[in-house]
Amino acid sequence: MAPRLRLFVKKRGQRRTGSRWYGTLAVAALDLALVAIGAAGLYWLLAHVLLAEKETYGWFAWAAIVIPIAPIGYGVTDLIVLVWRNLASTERRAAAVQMATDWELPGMGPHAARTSLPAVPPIDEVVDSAGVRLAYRLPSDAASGQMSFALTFVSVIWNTLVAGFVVSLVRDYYQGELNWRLAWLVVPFALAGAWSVFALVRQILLTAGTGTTLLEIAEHPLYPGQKYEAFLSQTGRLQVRWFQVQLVCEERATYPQGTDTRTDTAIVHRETVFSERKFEIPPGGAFETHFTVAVPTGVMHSFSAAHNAVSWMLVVRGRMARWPEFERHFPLYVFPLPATPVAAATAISPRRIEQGSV
Amino acid sequence: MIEAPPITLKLDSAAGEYQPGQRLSGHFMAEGAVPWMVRSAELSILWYTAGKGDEDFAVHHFERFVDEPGRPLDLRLPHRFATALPASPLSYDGRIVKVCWCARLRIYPQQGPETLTEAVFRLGDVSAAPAEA
Repeated sequence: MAPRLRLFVKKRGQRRTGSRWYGTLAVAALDLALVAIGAAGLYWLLAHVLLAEKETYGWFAWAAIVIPIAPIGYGVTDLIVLVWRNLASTERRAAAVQMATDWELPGMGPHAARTSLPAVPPIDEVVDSAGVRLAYRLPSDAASGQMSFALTFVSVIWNTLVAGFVVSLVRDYYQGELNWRLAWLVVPFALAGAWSVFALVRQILLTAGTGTTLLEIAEHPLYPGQKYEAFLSQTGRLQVRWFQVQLVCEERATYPQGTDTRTDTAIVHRETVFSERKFEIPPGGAFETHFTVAVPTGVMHSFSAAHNAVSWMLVVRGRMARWPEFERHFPLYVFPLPATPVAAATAISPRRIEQGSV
Repeated sequence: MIEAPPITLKLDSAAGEYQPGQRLSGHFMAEGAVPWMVRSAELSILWYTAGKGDEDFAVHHFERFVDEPGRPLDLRLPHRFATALPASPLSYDGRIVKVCWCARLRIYPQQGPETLTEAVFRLGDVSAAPAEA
């Protein structure tokens, strides 16, 4: 039995409920309609306004020509893309994109001075920052900064709106015209505003109160099966209950679910490379230590694509007296081992004559 | 409708395991005594992701064979291909992210739907991700 047509049901997953040709035809029809509307608008604008007899407009009026040209340009471009998508296979399109990406534009020189590997993220962010004790200072990921900024933004906007309502209610109260229903309605919004201020203050105190964490590493990029010297410095006037540095590998996958885009993560490697319990950092001082980071043999290198990624990082975690647990991430880049001499020799060997071998 | 003959797409390495920088070679051909009329054939060496996320993929090597008046495309004859494999990405069997390599042959016959044949192989020797970290 054919499934019943359901109009207002959220579509989940990527399964297709009809022929892809319907969608292609609909997009083509929409593009053609845009081109037709733009062409009609352009004709009307030229024939009846800009070039009409007895009508005189300045050069500024010609700027209005952008309005009908925009749908023509959009429609034609989308039609070309649609035809290219339907005439060429995904591999052929990807090969063309790859070839275009490899082109060097005049005057721009090579893409990067450092080694660049396909689908491996560039390490420029790390190696551009020199360390004091070791060669490279690892940048912290911006998650806590982004959280503080987002909380500040939400808190300011939300509480400004709530304050406007409260001022209006207070004015009404003194004029004896208070609408109690409206006043009660504002209460949950005011509570939410108070919570956002509390969360913001807590975030700022947590960021500032736990001091600065500094991580440096002797070499970058890292390779599987190798050991690297690292240096840690933690400032702040703190009584530390426990403190850890972990080497973590995380997989990240982004996928659509209905109209939403979801991201899932999975930790595939977690190893404590440094751990210390119950110590104190004096005011103005810093806890400093050296430790070794050993990247296991046979692990996946850092991988980055549009929807999938494998990321390596050092995670600094700790618990201070009177403070909640904190966690800071420092991305690392693990590269695949360079090609072995045997493999490289095979790669440059001349092509064999294969006549009759198949 | 003319039925597509069996297609052979074989890599020269029987194990299907390669290292970065190594040369991958193989051949493809159509079996059968009667010539199969095709418009074109596309051979790609590519990687793609599988798992939970949307598919990402990139083509490392691409060859297109076209049936032309002066040079008819006879797939009964073996067509060889070869390429030096890149340093990355290596094959990976992760928990929610997987990276797979394959040689993919897409044939567009003059009549009938296109056919797709794949020969998978592994690049590098990365271990599978453990079930629990």
